[in-house]
Amino acid sequence: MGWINFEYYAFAALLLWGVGSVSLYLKTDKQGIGVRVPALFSAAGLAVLMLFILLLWLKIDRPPMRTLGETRLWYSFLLPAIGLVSFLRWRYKWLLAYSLLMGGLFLLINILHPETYDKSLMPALQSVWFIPHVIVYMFAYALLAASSLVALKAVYQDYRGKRWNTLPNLADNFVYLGFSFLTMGLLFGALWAKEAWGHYWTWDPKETWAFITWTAYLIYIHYRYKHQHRHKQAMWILLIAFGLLMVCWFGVNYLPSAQNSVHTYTS
Amino acid sequence: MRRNTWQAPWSYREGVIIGGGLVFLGVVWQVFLPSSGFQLPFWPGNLYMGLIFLALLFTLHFLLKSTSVVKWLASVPAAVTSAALYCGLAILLGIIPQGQSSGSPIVHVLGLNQLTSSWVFALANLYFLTSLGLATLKRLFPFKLKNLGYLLNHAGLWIALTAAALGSSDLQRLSMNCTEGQPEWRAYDGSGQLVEMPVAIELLDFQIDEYPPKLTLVDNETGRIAVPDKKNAFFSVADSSFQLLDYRVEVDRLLPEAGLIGDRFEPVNEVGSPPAARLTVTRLSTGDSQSGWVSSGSFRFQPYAFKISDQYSLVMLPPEPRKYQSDIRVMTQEGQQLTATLEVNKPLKLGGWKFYQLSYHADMGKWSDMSVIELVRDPWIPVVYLGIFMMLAGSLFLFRHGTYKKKGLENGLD
Repeated sequence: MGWINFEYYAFAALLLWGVGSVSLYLKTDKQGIGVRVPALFSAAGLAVLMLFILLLWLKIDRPPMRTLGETRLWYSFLLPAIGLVSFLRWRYKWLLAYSLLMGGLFLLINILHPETYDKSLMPALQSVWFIPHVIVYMFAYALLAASSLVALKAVYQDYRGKRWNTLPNLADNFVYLGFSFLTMGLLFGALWAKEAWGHYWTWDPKETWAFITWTAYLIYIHYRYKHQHRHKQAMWILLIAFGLLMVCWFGVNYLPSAQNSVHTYTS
Repeated sequence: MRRNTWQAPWSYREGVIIGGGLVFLGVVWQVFLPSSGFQLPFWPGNLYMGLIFLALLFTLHFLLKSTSVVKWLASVPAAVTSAALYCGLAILLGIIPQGQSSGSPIVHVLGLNQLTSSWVFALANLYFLTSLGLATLKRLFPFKLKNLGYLLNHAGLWIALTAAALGSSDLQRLSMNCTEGQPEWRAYDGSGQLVEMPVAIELLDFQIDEYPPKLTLVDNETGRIAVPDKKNAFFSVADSSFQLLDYRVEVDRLLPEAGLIGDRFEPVNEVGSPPAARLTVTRLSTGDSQSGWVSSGSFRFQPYAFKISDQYSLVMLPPEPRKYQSDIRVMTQEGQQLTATLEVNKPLKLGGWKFYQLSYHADMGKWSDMSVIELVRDPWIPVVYLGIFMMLAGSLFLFRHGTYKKKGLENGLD
């Protein structure tokens, strides 16, 4: 099957997530149902997607982490997963809804613009570091995306003159975890590069942008520590940091400096 | 209450001014000093530089701790502004192609196409490492166990960055072209300079393991891939049968090494014999079916396409390497010998050097009798790795604190 049946799985996941999102906002008297129904539908969507990922992995006989489309697939799994866990933990309806929406959006992008090219795994990528490096990074990206959803919500609430004083703390929870994974991903990459290319850091464009992203979140964390009450500036730093992260993930492919990078996914 | 600039305690304004001053100084040195950028001394000069830097940080910390400059350097505003300067330079580095001559005279004069060896970069590095070093010392003395996460993260980063920067002058990366059966001791550095190695390498055998070749449909007129759907444009011959547009393709026979005889292929055993496959193609809308050969070609033979209609042809792509490796014999001047197999991601460590399988004669593919081996010597790497592993341990603290943020603020960060 490979990617051939992707649409069916994607539409099934989208449908389940759609129902889950709607059920989040249905009025119900029973507290338990208001949590369980959306959680079950979201989890069912995740299960469908995981099944697809596993079947794809078996079929192509290599970890599906090589192409841009494949990284988006992981992202559209991990972000709703994080949304679901936070919903169960903190009961943030809007966060689950947004993360389902974002996950669904990435599934749609994969349907319309696959960029999955059936690629062989070049020898440099055949390493024990490959899976931890990519998974840790995708997890970090998904957590940091969740933090920027929080920041967006905060900025919007501020614009409408509504209260949003609990949001920065929620954003911090995601950033701390996300930054921890981001650091691991970066350092795993360095250790791997030493084994594969002879040097741990060569300022390859992807490395450079990963460093930029890392520094941006570093700045956010330090700023938040020092100024616990300058919420608005902090939320803007978070949004800028996520913009840099997006350049690192997708944008690098289009930069003149990156024509020879091993990370362009298309070479 | 408004504070005047340079009135204690210093904050972001001073940080921005100092950062701007460093950029100005860096640009002036870059333009007016005779050398084209900052050149670190080799061993042991770089070691002395590192020790002097460390002594300077200790002096600042223990003797001048109460001055507003030192207090500020160890504070968050200095950390944020120095990280922002570093980040800004990295953005330039990420946009401007490095290591190539540029059409723009500004890029050339300011050294923006060789940013990592420019004065601005060196000064930004110094600013960042000074701030980071002083912040680390502030938490290191007196040592408290609850600061462990903080220290692993900060000291780890300082050690890794400082060792990487100082060690860059001692890093040697050479490449050696080894031909089967000929001992080689001449290697070349990045600028093409010859370096004679104290060891000789003889390539005993070079092998490539390839993936099965892929097939696709091309437009006869444009020569481009005719399948608009990017996810199904290529099929491996191992996945027969499959569908391309309106055609169902079956692989009847696959020859890994074949030669064209008349209008068909037969198995041959000859250098440069490309793979070939006999295909049966069925047009689904009409049920018409036909058979023919395709071959990827090689450095010796032309590719062979199967024209299935006026509009389309089936073609075979050259097989991609799954794995390549070199069996080598290493000989020292003292007459010692050692045989080993080099593979991508599996380097060989020998006497302070690491040997890597880098590439081969790509045009010749699996018939290449030449293998490019990279030789790397980086004596500072244990120190860099110490820093990296400290940071990895530190990231676990951050991870734990992520769920208990308030505690994290007390323990993990400054």
